[in-house]
Amino acid sequence: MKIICAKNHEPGAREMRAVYAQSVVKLIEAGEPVLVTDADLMRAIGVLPYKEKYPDNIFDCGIAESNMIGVACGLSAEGFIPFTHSFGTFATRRVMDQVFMSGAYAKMNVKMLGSDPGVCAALNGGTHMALEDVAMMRAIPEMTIVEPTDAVMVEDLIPKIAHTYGMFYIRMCRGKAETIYEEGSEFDIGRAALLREGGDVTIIAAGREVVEALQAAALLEKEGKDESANYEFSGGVFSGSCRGASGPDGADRHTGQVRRSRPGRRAQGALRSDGGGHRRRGPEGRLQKVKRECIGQCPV
Amino acid sequence: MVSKEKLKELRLFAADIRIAALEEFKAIGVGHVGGSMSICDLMACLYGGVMRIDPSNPRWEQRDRFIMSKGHAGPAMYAALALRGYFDREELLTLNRPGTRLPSHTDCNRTPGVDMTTGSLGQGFSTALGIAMGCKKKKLDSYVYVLLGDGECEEGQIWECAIFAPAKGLTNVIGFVDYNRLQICGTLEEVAGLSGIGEKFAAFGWHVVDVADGNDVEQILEAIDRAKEAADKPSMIILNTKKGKGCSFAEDVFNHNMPVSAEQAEEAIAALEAYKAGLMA
Repeated sequence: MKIICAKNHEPGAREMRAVYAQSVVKLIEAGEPVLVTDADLMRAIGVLPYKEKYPDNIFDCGIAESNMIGVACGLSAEGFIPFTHSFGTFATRRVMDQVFMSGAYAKMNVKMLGSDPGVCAALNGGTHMALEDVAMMRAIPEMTIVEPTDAVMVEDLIPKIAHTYGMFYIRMCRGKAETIYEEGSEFDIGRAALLREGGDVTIIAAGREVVEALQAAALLEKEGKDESANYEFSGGVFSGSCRGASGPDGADRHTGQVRRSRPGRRAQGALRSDGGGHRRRGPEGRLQKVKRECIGQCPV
Repeated sequence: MVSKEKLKELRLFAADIRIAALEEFKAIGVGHVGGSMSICDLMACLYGGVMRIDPSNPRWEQRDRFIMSKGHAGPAMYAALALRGYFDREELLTLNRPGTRLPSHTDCNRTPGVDMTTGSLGQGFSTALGIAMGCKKKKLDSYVYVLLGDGECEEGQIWECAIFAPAKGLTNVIGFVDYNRLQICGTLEEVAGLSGIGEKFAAFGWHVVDVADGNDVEQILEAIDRAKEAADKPSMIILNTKKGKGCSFAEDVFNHNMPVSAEQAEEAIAALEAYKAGLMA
């Protein structure tokens, strides 16, 4: 974990999807058993230009998301590391049972990308806005959710996700995201980064919400609550990750056990105890643990 | 041409699989009798010589794979696995008990010899195709066998698979449909109007072999040979079977998931023993 905060939060030079595509292709070029598949949205996620060059590693399943997840699980059983993609809605809602049984219950190793989740679906409208994807995926004990914030994080995390056995749901917008981290930043799955110190309010954010949270902190400062703390979870807001990141031992990321116990409750508990409006009496020790991971302060 | 001796051996094996499965049902008092009994002859063929397997090394890389997409027929598969030495026969009596390695529906993380977790219908077929694709990518010459229920073919995912396998050149896939024509709430035609499964697969680009009696090991073996000859397409073998076949109390009654008393099981086992004696005479 090495956090270098960007000086300003301008949109990055590269689209998130381009970085995703380059990152998985880099793994393929390195000879890793990575396969990339899609449900007719390779053009949308930027993988299509590489398909011709790597026909053994990149293939389309057609508009058949259920089969795509199943095929990926079968490939995983044979030792491959499949990355699947569809829009966030179809990557989760549409294939919940396949993800659960063929993937998580069978303890497979599939990396599922859901793009343009939530309001990122923008002009595609309400039918395409996955607002419940995190809630659904979080309910699956074997699932790790990752929500990269910017292009730097995507680039750093994709190889780590590939090299961490298990089911992953990656949710991210396709376009350019505001830069929060400088090149050279390194992240741990499930580990929080403290982006701004403070004691009045704790804001926990992931992905697109991080820049919003920083702006909210600035507003709060103007209103007099001048010591706000922003957390960002490189491993997303998933319960185990959340607790592991902010628990008594800042390095505790044995999230599997935690998640298997009572995922929903853990998440709520974690948010309540560590972020639920504590003021001066907040868990100082816990903050200290996380602080040490941060070598820069984000400007507001 | 398969020798008469081999056919006799497989018929005896099929009867033994039925007996062992009945012992499982007897121990727990209930189970998916119909759809287990209908496939025992296929299990005998696959685990009695067709499949390249090593029971002492269930994860052997070079093995042929088998995926029970109609996962509820696990008990028949477990019987075949136990009789082939994947685990002790006594373990069959733990079917569905707390802590068992033999759950109602097949689970690749629990049972030696089970290649994929199934139970939610339609899904095993997709995972089988992924496994077949993986074998091809690894340049293995393994076959991937997958068994579908006929009612399972009402799932949309089955037809996503039907498009996928020929398009991706998965010629190492040999599928079977247990076409016993009965599902929980009636016949296939009554419940959802599904018919002509073989014709449908043919239209999707599969090499289809129709087996008039899917409970006859000789016809099953012949169909598998024909499937292997058609090396340019994936194959689907339609097994016209009888749900509950060979189980005295289950034939011709509702048998999808039924209670099994000790007396019923013993009577059915005695009948199967008598059938075996006849074969050996």
